[in-house]
Amino acid sequence: MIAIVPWILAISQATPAGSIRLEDVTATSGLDAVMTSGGTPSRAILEVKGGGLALLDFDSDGDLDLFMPNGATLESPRKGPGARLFRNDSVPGSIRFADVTAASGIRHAGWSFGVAAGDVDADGHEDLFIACHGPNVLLRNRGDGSFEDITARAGVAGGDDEWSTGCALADVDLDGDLDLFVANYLRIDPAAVPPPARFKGVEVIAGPKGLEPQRDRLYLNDGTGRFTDATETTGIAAAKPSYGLNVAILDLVGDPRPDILVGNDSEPNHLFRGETTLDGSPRFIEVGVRSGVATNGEGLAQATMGIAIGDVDGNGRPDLFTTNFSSDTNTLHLNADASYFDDRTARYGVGAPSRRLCGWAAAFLDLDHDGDEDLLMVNGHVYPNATRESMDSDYAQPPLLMERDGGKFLARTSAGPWTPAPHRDRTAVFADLDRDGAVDAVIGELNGPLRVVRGLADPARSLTVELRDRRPGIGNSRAIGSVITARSRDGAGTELVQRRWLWGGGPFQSTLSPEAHFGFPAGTATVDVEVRWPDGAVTRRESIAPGSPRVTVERPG
Amino acid sequence: MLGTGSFAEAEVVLATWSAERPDDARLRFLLGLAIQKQRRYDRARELLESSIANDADFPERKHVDHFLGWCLYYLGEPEASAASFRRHLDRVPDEPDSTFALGLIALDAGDLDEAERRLARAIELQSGSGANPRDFAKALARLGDVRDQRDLQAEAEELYMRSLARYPNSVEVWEKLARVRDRLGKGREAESARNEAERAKARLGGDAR
Repeated sequence: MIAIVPWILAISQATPAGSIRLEDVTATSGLDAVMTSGGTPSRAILEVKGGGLALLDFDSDGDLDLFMPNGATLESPRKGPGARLFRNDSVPGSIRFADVTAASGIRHAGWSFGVAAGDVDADGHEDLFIACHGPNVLLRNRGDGSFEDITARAGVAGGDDEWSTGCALADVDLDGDLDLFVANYLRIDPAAVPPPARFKGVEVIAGPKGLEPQRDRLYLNDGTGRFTDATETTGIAAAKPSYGLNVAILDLVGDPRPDILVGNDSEPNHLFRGETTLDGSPRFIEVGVRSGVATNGEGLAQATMGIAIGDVDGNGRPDLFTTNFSSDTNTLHLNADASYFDDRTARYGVGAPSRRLCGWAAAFLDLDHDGDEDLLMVNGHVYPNATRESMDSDYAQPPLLMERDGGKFLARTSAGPWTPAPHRDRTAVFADLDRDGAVDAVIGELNGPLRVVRGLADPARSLTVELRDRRPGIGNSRAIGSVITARSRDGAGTELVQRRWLWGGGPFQSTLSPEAHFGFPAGTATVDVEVRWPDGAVTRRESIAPGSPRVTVERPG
Repeated sequence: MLGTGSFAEAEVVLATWSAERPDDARLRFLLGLAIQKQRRYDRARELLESSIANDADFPERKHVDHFLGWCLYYLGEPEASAASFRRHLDRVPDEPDSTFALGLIALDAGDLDEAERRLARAIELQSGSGANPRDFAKALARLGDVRDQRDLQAEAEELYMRSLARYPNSVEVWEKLARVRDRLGKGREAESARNEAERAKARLGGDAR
């Protein structure tokens, strides 16, 4: 033996320039907001997660507006600078936001983390659930541009001592309304910062190990925005409390009931498989370890901050990509046969470039409109004293852009005019904000300003699909849980089948865009779109030309 | 201190000496080694590279590329890592751990034929007397990974079991054994392997992460 070598693996390819083009348009976007999360430098784990972002159409004008719940500080944990709401005033080619917080009546100023948007009371307007340290908050959209706090009557505050992080609205019992899952992290008193721990021999902020994990919660909606805590009755409580950080709700096992994936920090992830009971009530069985998603392929629990979902291997099943801590790798779990997920991180080249990074929000996106999905993730260390010398990893880190190239994802150090620069990023949301056909991003940095990155891909080779279920009493009007398939042929006649999942949850403590975006290779003449709705019904739209204005598919009555 | 695993203490002493004799390539190598063992690969890489920068020669020179290879591997630079291991094998032909490392890198890259060839060779090289059971075990386990990726789960199971017979403290291999047993429909045996993984975990320590 020459060396004592840890058995962790990760490998990938180097990083040439690519075909993705993006540009930073923060300065002209009108978006002027800092995402507060404790002080700088961070002193406690409560300060290091940052908060989320939500894209929602709060004013029902058809475009996606932006909500930032915002954090607070150890000195004033229940009263921070307050949440912010921005109306989308973009025109194609120019992303513009206007601050409408005051007019919205939103006064929430608690220490916020995750946020989920959806129409919880089926009145046609999207509401906001905010996951907090302390009581959670549900804001009802009155439909006139203003919101009211309905937490108490909705019954979703949770415990006073709970630290809620990721959250998701989705119809877990398939009754047409939006239910709520809240991931809980750990018990911490902002006034009593735990003593430091050690990482690579260096004194660092303590946690999560050694602190008390908290149980996640599942609330079932009665259709009017009143919820029942079903954590015990549905089987969620049977899982060991495990530092929950992020949530994704979709059918992962192909049965097709919604399943719930919870990314746990430094503990095995939970996969709650949806079951059908004789009386029709929802029930979940935790199958994380057996399915292979609890850990990486080495059987090691990871940090699991960001979650992205896409069909990486083209087998029609949703694969999982998760972002993790530095000196570890991000992980790609391929959905092999609906029962097992295989860790194919190294095979697709997504591990090695992430070794120096502490990853947060991530998404599969076709950023160059070539018919496959690329990867974009934001990064930043949690330890302010992280340096390359002490931890192989800097505190401020650049976003990682990976372009899909055949069977690999290749890291890119620039994307046209955009060069990813180091930040303390935590969250991001992705959507075509200016309706020019290319996906854009809003990135949230810990105690830093929100940034806006605009996609520059050829709009003639894209298609954006949104779903609407306007049947009376249906709160899941965005049809979260649907699968959208686009079939096309390129100029050479080769068939291309692409799938997108509208899942509950988001990249990290955020709400996934409710729109599906596709790109197509040059020469694609028409696209056939198939929507499989949450209840299994199927709607088809045929012969759509790429570059068409966004397609709205309505659920038949 | 290096020989007894007191790497942090060795680092302090070697850093002092190295500061007094900045041109001593061997001291830089030993300091890099002490730091590499503490999993601070970036600083270790810098020292190891500088130790061989001017064609310096010292007793351990022929092994520098081996340690450098692992630094590069854990810093996410597989191609540079493979090149470093190949340079080591040029100097020390058939060195088992560098042979193993090249098998691991091939496995990561999805080159299963090359991985199988390198790992089988590493096992062969380590099967003689005096082989470290842990090194032997990890080569067996990685060959099991190759078989698993070839959808030969029964063969993978056998290799994982052989690996665990050599080194039963590997949580990772117990977990892998459980997974292939699940796929083979051996639910009860899979649970048993998972219980062993938990026991192995309890036997091992860790830091904040």
